[in-house]
Amino acid sequence: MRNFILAIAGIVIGTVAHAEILIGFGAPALDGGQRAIMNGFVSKAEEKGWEVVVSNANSDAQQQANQLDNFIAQGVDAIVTVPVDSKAVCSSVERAQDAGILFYTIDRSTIGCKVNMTVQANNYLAGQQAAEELVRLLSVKYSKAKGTVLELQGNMGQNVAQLRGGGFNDVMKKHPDIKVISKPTQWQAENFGQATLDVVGSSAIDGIYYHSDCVGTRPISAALDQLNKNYKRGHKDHIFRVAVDGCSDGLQAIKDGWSDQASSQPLPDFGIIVNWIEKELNNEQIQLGSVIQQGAPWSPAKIFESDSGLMLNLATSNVTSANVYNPALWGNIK
Amino acid sequence: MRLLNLILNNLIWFLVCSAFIFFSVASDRFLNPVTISNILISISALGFLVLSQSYTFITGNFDLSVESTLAFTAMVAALLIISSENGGLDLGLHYIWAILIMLIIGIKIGLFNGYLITKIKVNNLIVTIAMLFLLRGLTYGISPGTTISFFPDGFRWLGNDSIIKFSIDGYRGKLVIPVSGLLVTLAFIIAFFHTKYTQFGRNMYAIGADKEIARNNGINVDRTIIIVYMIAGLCAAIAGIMIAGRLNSATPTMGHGIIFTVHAAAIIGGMSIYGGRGNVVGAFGGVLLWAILDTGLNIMRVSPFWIEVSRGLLLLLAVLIEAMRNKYQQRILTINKFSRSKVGQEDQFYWKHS
Repeated sequence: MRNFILAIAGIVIGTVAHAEILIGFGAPALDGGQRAIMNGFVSKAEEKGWEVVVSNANSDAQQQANQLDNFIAQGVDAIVTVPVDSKAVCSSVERAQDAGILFYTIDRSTIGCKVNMTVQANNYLAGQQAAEELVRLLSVKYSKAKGTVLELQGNMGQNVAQLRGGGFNDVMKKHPDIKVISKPTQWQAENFGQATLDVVGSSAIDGIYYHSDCVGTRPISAALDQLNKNYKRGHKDHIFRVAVDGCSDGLQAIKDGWSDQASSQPLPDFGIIVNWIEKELNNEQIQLGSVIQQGAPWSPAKIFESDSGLMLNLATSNVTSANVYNPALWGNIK
Repeated sequence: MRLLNLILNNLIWFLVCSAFIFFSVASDRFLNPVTISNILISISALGFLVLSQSYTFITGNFDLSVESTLAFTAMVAALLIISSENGGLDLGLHYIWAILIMLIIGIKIGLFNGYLITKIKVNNLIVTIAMLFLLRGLTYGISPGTTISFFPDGFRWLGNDSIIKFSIDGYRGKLVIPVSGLLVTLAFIIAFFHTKYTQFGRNMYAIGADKEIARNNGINVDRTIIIVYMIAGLCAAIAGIMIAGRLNSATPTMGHGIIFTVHAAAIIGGMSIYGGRGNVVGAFGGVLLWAILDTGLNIMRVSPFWIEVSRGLLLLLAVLIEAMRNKYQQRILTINKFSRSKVGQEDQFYWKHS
């Protein structure tokens, strides 16, 4: 009877190979930029001969907690996750560490607890880059830095959205004649579109800053189309658009003239965390200091100690029409 | 035939046992203390929500607002307990009072729903959908726009602590009997006796079967439905305590979308959306099956996309089995009725007295 059941399981699901190292990857969702992050991590882990089991939390913090608990039950060697919620994940971090399992985050860090290491983009810099470009464009338009800007935020429960908003608004605060209207979107495409319709439809907006061009590019364009306010760069009524991520959609919008700037994150490169996971699995210590990767736009970067544990922030690249065709940008990689 | 009836009426438990055995055999990582503990933990908040829906389903009603009730009550408690440094209002309210306030708010929301449905005669689906949006919006509105974290240990006890923790030789980790898992099991036991062996429970089924006949037979339909919704609100608030305790946070998006999982688990457990049928024990089985399937497939490293597919297939299978069972039982009832009928047979009275 046991053999029969095993045979059925084998036919239906396939043989489950037990690699030497098993990593649990907890994705918050598997669309847009998160797919690129997952693929980047999994490919780098598989280069090392590791096996990766992936879960998708569908943006639900409780579901992610259940999935991380399942990784613990499976006895994984390490857990790597992109937290749905930077604070809520801390209870899972605690349970994993109690079970002696290494815990890492990429793309987003924790708030209120320490993990072994985090690799993420310098989201504060990304927000600053977007803001500086927007200020420059408004200054050209009005001969001074003034106007009204719509900020489409991500999920403000995550550190990444807080930093992108923080970097952006800290620059804007230096220009009191620029008014910022902020709207949350929870990273949902329909919310990007709806917020654009609501605000641009009722106010004179000079520019839009959105926390993710992976999610926001198309719905914002569709909304502006609907409002008959979708004009290309160079048109007198063009609404400036700046964003973070540098997804292929976002870069294409710059190439086509609809958008003006993107702070490109090196999403697939977050997977380099495997190098430091390997160190810790071999009981070596991670050294603070410089990290260099030849040819990487974010290189050099630096590992430093933070409130969330060891942190490696990868610099974002300021992408405009001048350099949007750079083949090193991940959004240009097929 | 009796055996077949027994199987059909307890099919969910057959499926639960089958799933458990299947995963235990198919993966050596399933049958270990940590996995069992995870299943017990994951059924707790979901179980309370399924219990809330079971009560409303039995009376032939829906309550879609429970996921927002859960989030709203948790957010209120967080604001009252937690310091401003961590997102709260710095009121420093003792967690016991905060829990009481949560439960009262949950009951009041249920009372409001029940009142609108019974006294104002608004359709139950419309009322609870409206409350779903209203309460979610309120949750966002009262929150500081971000997560509020770090509840005191006492508050987290229900959602995060365990009664018993012990190691089992040869297994990594400990078998944990969580407080939340015990509480939800106890709640289902109480609900079983309440719905099956009390007048109130019988009234619920009568209302679900036919509201007007129930009313004509002297049952206070409005009062019963209002109490049912109050129970649903109370269960949602308890689920909020558990989730907030487990995550050590209250977020505006808590429970978002869970109502579909709740309905699926309840229907898989044999609850009927038409009312008057199903039992809470079966609903508990539905919760267990859902948790075993989720955990088992994750452990077997099935792709997350196929896990979603499996959930949908399970729900389809459940409604198919329900439809076939109803058809079969209707057929048996008809056969039994006609087999006892004397239509077409000799008139015994005539021949005796003629």
